[in-house]
Amino acid sequence: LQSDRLLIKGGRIVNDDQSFYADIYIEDGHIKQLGDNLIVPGGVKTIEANGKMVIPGGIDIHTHLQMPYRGTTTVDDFFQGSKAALAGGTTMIVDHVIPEPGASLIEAFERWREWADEKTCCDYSLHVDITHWSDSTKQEVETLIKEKGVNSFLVYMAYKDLYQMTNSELYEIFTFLGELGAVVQVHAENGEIIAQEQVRMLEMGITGPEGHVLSRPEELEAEAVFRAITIASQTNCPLYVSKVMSKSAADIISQARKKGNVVFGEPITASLGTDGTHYWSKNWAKAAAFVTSPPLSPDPTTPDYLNSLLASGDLNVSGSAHCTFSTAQKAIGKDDFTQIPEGVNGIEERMAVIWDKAVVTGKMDENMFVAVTSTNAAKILNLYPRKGKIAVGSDSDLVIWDSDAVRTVSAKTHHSATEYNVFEGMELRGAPLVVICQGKIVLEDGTLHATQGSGRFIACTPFPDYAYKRVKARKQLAVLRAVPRGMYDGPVSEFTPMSRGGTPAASARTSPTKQAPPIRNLHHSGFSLAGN
Amino acid sequence: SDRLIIKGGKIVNDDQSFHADIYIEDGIIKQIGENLVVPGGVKSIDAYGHLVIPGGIDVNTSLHMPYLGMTPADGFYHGTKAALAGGTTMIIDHVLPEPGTSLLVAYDQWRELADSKSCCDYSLHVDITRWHENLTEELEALIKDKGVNSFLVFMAYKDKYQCTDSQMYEIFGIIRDLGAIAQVHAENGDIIEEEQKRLLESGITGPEGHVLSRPEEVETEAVYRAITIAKQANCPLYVTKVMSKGAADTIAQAKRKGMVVYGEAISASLGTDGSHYWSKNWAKAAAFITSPPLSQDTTTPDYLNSLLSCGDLQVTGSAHCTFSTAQKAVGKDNFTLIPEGTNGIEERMSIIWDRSVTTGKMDENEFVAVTSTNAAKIFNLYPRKGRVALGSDADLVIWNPKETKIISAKTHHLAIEYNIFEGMECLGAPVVVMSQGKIVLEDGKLRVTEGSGRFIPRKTFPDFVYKRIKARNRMADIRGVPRGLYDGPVHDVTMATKAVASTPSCRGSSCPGKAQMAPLRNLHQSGFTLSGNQMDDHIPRRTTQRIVAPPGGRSNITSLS
Repeated sequence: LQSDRLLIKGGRIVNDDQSFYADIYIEDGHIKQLGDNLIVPGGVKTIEANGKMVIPGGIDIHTHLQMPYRGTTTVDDFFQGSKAALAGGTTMIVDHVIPEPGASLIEAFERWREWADEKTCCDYSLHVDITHWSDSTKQEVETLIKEKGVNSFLVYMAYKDLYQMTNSELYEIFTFLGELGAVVQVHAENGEIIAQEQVRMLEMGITGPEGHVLSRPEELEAEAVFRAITIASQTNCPLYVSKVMSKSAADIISQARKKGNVVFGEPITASLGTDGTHYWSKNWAKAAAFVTSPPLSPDPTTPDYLNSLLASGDLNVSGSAHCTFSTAQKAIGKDDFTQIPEGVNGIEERMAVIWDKAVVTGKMDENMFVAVTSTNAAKILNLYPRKGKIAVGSDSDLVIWDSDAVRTVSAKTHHSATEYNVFEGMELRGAPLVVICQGKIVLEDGTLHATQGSGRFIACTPFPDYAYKRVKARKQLAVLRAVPRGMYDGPVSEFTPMSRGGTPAASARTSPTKQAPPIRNLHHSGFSLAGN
Repeated sequence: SDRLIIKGGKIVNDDQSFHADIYIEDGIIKQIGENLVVPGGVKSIDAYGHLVIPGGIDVNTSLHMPYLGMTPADGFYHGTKAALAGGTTMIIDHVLPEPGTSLLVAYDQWRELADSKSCCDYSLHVDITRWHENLTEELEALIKDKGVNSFLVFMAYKDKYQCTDSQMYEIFGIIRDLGAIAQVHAENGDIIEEEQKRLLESGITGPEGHVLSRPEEVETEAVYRAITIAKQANCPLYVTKVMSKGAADTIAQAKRKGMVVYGEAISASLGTDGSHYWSKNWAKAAAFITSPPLSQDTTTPDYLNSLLSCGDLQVTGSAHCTFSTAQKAVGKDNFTLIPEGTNGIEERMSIIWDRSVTTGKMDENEFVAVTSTNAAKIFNLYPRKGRVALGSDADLVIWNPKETKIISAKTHHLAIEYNIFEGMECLGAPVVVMSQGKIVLEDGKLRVTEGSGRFIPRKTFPDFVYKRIKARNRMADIRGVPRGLYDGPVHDVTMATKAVASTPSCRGSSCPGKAQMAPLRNLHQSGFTLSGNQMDDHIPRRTTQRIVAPPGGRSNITSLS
């Protein structure tokens, strides 16, 4: 059944830049030949694509499989989750490592590696979340980038007193990561105000899942996105906004892109496929199933809007933020919405939701579809063209896509272990017909043949061109020069240095010892000091 | 003289202009019309060919801002004298308490100083420089007994005045319940501090470091954040010192989304720009230091004048806070130590006339609105101030739109030796200025009396601001969803308290006892409804309150008594 050599005949190859008809010959997990009338060894298994599209396998850039939470873990572990990914046409996932605040990032990373190596059935990479910031974290981050193959880190602007970072910490982290060539991801919500609103909701007696969305209005998401962009622009660091859930947050990102900021936005399956009206469902379990942060927008026109921005290139990549808890686990928060574990499904549905909502409706073409489901993610992760492209030498993670298939999403038929599905009953056009992962057929004729533990860790390298070319150019331009001027030799008032009284100026922390001596001779050329 | 008649002028209010004579007695406008019957021997002023406008209100001055043991060169005396010379007959000064000290004590200190020195009527904003436990009581006392209805919070000046987002949210909530106005100094202090460190480390110590460390994005970000927080708290927001296009645009967009937000442009941002920070003359460059800084973009003044004209920005102040060159030189080796503040109290009216009215951006009525009426409405002084009408205070200016003046440190009425508008030629100037019914400027001569200015207390819940807030407060009635009790299995988490928790808040558990409504099984039974505090509950009703008789027009003042 499984062979190392494969020939895909008669398919229409779709990359992000063009589509063309060609055959593909695969050997040892790589694409060896591409073209017509290929000369291949005898006895090679041949797949007839019959003119259907062959696309690069999807890359789900945001998952939380087997995520520990209060002593339990999400119901989809790395096997179950990656199996569902393959069933949906996604052949690579990027999972988030969440170290406990104060604990070692590297240890957490190694633990995640162990779990994933043992169980995943598709290739994977890891983002590491920075849950606290100190000098030792700095060193660990450097090690992770230089030795462990991690090039993206997430910081939180929410979850007060747990993961949340202050503005100054964000500034430092952004500066630090910008120098090392990593991509900074943010969970963008104003945690301070959320904490206040949660207390207010509970005081008013609102304890159900609707309290979740009421305490996290989309303005707070937009505000945090705006702030993150401002800090990233000051520090000249590429920014990646994970989980874009609302129109206002998406608008802020597209405005910033128009101003030239290097910022990427990631909508997720849930924000592209459904909305937040379900938080008001009278069925507690259903309402709780939609709890994720930032929440789904109660505005039902949001999914359509986000699909449009994804099509226009204002948002660049799509993930699933797949993080599934059973209803019993969600019920930890049955009397207090702030205790409901957060996360929705979407790893399996992602490709089909985007095809159905954006391609079928004519918002984007098949090439753009490949870009937002695979290629752009590969570029940001610096894995392009190994992943995200059908080309000679690329990994043979391929999907034969059937644009005519119609499937109805249901918890009864999905491959996730949860007993609900936030897209329940949704009819989606477009589905994978054959999925090839590492050169092996894993989905054919509706049957899934996933091998536990066959997934490999794919190391990412820093300074992805897609994000850093512009940043590097700007660094060279951003040279600050002092104004050469004569020394001020007039009278100076008496003053109480640093009294406790009201100086509105900055702080004793500045470094008066480092001052360059002013120059008296104006003909003498001024000094010029370059920034980093 | 206590009795005056102004003849032949064109009266300009914010809504209309008309020709009429004005008779003034005891500091109040007693009659308006033609062929007035007045007592004999009344002094008559000829205003033919000129405009008679309500005296300007400068909503932002810091005439006594302490800094490193120094105070500004222009105190209340010189400052208000200059104000009158420029056609401004009322100022609202900022009380800046030392962080950690009582707001009330600082307020008393400012009152004492201003009562003895000020030559025009004044009122006070109080700046909240540090969050503390008794803040609510202090704010309540200031609002109910001291006639203060506006408070400023700082988003900059880290470790000194800066507020966190949660503190802002709480303060905004208190302010809303008490019916006052929240002002913000909008700049992201965290980023500024990092930038200052970076610049000093790279050897930039001159005034250009000030603007480099405070780029306009940092102002824009803070404005956006303040608006978001105010929206959540349903509190009216007033952004002081709008200095950049980005900040002004953010305010304009928020207004379009329905936010109750006001933006204040200042003389400096309307009249000049930040290119001077690169001047080779240190003293000149330092003179322009203020926060947020003047924008380096030279088209900014014109842009802000346009937004002021179209109503996106509503009020103008001067943020007058002047330190002499010797005082500025405290920061000669380190830009972060340079005392902040620019002049503008005297030039404000002329700059706006010249930049906005003569260029055709706004008409004379809008001019009155942005220099006087809107300020009076926002801060609940209308129609006692900000309008030429029966019963209003006789703070009037006879304005000559054709007179040209050249601004210069040699001729201005300030104590400082420089003027940031030096050499600017302005069309439009006051020929006669009347404060409290007395002529203080006539024939180019200024006759002011130290200490003649009165403190004008302001009441809460200004209609102009709070009508909408009140309506929204009634609307903001959040309901829980009545649903059946969840009776499925619940995962056991007792053993797991130490593990990673991905939901925030142990705070949620703070009120499990009182908050949880027993979920209803009967879905036909209606859900519960909980309303927040109604604004009306808090309208202060005090017998000692002086009731100001409303002069004509709608009276939001009597309704409070």
